Amino acid sequence: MIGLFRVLFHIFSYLVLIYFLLLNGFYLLFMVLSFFGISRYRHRTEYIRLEELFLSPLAKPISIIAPAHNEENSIVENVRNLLSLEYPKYEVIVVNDGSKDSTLEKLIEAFSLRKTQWVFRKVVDHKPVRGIYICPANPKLIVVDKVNGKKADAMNAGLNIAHYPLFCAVDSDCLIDRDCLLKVVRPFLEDPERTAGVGGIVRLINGCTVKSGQITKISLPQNILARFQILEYFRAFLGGRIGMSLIKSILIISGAFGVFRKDLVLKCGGYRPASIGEDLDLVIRLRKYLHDHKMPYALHFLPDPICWTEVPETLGALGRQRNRWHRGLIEAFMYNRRMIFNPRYGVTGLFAMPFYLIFELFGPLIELVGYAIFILCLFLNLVNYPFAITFFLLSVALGTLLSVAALLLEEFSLRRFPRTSDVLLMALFCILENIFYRQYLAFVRGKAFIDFLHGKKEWGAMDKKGFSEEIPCP
Amino acid sequence: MNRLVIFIRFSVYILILFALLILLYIVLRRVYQRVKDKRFRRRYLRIEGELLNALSTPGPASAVRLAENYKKYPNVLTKLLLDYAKVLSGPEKERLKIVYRIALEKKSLKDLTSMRMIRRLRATRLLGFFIDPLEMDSMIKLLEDKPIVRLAAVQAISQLPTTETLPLVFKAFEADSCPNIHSYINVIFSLGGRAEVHIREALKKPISYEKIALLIELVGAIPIRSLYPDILPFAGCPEKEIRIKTARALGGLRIPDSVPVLIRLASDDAWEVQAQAVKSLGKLKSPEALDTLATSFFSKNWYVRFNARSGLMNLGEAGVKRLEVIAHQTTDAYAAAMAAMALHDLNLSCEQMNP
Amino acid sequence: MHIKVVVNKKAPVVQKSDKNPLPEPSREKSPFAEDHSSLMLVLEEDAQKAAPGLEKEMQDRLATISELKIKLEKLVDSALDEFAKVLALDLRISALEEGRSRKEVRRRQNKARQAPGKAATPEEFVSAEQEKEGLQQEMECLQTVKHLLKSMNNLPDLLAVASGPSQPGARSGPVNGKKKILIVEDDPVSRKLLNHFLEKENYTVLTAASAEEGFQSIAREKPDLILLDIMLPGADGFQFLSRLKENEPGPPPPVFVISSLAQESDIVKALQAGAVDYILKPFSPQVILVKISQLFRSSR
Repeated sequence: MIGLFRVLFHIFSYLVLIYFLLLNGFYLLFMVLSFFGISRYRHRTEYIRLEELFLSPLAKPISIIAPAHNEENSIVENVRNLLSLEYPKYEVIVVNDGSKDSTLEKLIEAFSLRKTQWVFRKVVDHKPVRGIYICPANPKLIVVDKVNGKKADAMNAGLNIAHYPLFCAVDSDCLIDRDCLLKVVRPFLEDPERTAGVGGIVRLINGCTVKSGQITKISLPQNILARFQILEYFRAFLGGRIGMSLIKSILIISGAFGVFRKDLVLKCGGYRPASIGEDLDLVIRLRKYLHDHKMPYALHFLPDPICWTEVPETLGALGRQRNRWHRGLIEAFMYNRRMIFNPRYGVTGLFAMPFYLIFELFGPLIELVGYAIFILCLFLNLVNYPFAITFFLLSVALGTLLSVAALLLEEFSLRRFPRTSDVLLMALFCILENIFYRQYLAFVRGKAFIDFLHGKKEWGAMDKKGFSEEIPCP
Repeated sequence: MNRLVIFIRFSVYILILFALLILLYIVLRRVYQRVKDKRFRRRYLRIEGELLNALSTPGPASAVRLAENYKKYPNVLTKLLLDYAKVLSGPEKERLKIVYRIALEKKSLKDLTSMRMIRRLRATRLLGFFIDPLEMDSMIKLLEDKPIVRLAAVQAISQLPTTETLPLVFKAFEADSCPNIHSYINVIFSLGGRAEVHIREALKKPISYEKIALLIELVGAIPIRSLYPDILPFAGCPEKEIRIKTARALGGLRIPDSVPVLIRLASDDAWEVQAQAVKSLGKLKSPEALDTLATSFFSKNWYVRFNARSGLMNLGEAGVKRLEVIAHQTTDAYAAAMAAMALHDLNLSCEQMNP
Repeated sequence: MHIKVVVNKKAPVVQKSDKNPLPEPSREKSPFAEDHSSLMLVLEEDAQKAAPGLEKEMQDRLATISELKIKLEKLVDSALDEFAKVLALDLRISALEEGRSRKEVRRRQNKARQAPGKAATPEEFVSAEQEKEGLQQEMECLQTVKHLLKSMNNLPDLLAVASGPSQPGARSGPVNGKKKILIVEDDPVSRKLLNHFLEKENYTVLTAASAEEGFQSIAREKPDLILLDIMLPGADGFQFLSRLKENEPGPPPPVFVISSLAQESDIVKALQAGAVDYILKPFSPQVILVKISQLFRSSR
């Protein structure tokens, strides 16, 4: 029996090693690709004058859709920031998603909103709208009040009301750089036929100084968890997504900031209300639709445009957030499982989705199983200590290298930590991350599987709605 | 297993070494950049102070002095000139030109033929502000360069729009590939009426339909009313995109004779063309279009209805009367609701003007 | 440059002494300066009589004055060049002096160690001193000329004040110095540029980088004119204008909009919102200065 265990343990060790090397190998590859992507982008944009685009008579108008739920403390300030972006023609649609607090009242008071009798065409379904308000003094602002239906539902309401061909999905508590729209609209101008969506970098606002809706000083947050998350966001956005966009493997454009073509999104059914990770689900279904209809398309990820978001600073909140993200990942893959390993969907089906499946979705499970077996072997005294320790050091070294490489990519980006001591401190955190933080995340995400299986029965009914019928355009 | 462990240990050392090297590079790069930036900033502020004095002092002597004294800092001067040339015009800009001629011209002309793209680009940008007719030849050579330099050269050339230079701009536009053509928008737009002859010629050439569509749209945006007979034939073009842009441009030109054409386009097969035609009819505010706008209220397509709504709202009393009729009819509830919405909005805007 | 400026008996007389004649510039002579002074005498008398029928004649003469002013400015320019040369010479002299004093010290040290060395050449010292004195006097003269010419810049204003109905206190010092101008602009280059040009014209300049800061400034300082950009963080220029109309208890200060938005609709919108003028970017600071002085003159 113990002999069997020993053999199994050896096999498992090798498997874990191979898995581990493959995973980090891919991450390193994406880092290198991202490096080239960032330098190429910077060369191209170094002397581009954004003011020219701003003054262009033919700039594409954008509808910004910002769902809001129970945000009475910050909603007026956030909306004011959205209204003062540098872009020649855009509108801001704030969707009050059935807030129980005084979000709507604060908006009505601050902007002197007047209720209208607007009618709109319901291209995609959503919960009922209670009222549409406009601001006579500032025609850019439209506020939609509706029954609560979660973020995807609120986005659909915004999509139905939006007037312009492009829309920008933002979280209302995110802060956007003033010239963000100017930068992010460039791919739509250069390649109007194919560009379906563009994403930008999301960074952490924790610890930064904000004045009049703009970041005036970037500094490290005090909270340790926030510091770990900074590294994670660097790795994911700077190191991962830019590289993946170069090999046409973007599966997610963050819901905190992303610009899409409205007609394409409506054609593929808008946002799916049953989805938990609506941003991931949208991109996957968008790709599916465009492949099914054999329409050439491109999704871009730019290193430049920046959106600043606040991250949770307590273990509990962080755990809940990551749990939700992972359940969203599982749910989206379950819904779109026919695309995995399907050559009909090109790189998405043959590489991007399998990669996410094996390394993102099942990664935490494999990690947890690995820890479990290790502990079991400890009890059974089967552990090959030199191997175990060396392997642990290897994982720490690889993780550190990836994080430090992400710091290097951050150096090349335009908004850097001003203090060198901050960077050195982050380097220390690169190592510390591997001791507890990673394990906690693996645990939380592994638990998401169980939570998902528990919750699945409730959502089974909602999941029945299909979006297979063609919706007449637009 | 032992060999594997040794190999892994060796890899760990390599990885840690690599990580440390990257860190070291980051720190050194920062230190170097901080020193460089501080020095740059110091020089920039010093020269800026003197430049401001030179700009406000009558006579070119101070500008000449500044150029002579600070010739040795071309990078700082370049940034300073680019920053201020964006904002200034008139005699003060002439002073900047003097500084450029004395301190930077030689280097810029050399950089135009440099191997490094960044240098060529920077020189082209400078010349975009300070170009002299004599330098036109070097600019023209850059029209064969990489897209980003080519566009900068086009912008520089368009600063001196003459009978020799404008054809070059349009030739570059015709030869350029589609992803870059949107960058010509500002250039051609800023030429205004001067572009008329060249747009007329370009429209006759066999260029791609995206370029024709762009030119037609620009005609409407500038607007160049004398090109109306030239874009009119495109209203019957089989290419949908061109018909859309023609409908839009006719709205921008606001020529009363185009109303019948727009009325015809309002019953086009493609909903996009219908929507643009109805929008343009709304802009023209012509009473002849009243019936078409009212009919479009019952269109299958929401955009057409929406544009018809805006059009009727702008037609004054006649439009309001029609809206009231539509609001009270019962055959199409959606149209009735939209008309009511329009009337309500009109009330709101009246209240806003007369509180 | 040798300018003999004789103003009327009431104003102080400044006469150049003939002791150390300054080097003659190779440019225009100064006889027109004497024309100018006599002209000033005539004008002053006219202004005091101020019959309505003489208005036209005064305007003609004002035109002549502005022509003369241009000529004078050219002279000022060359004067300032000389001034700069004098400064350079001054620096050289002080460097020479320093060198000389160091030599003196070293000489004394040598003297203590060796046999008494050669004494410093007193003749060199004396001539250098004389040269320095001469140059210092030159500098003083140039500075006086500079002040006079500056106050002559205000001549049309002074005359306009003298010719109009007598206003108590209207004849006090330079008019520009009393006016406060607020610049609401977030682009640092434009802000610095406007600040510099306005301060040079002796206006009191306040700056704000956003609409909110602008309002705080208005409440605190009550500026006489606002230069406003449209693209501002927070609220834009149009909202600023409408809020300005609502907030102020009395009539709000006049606003010049300086913006890069060139569409007709934006210009109309700004003017309808209450702006007095709309200046497009890129702009010429000289034009703005002229517009500002016209505004202040017409508002008096």
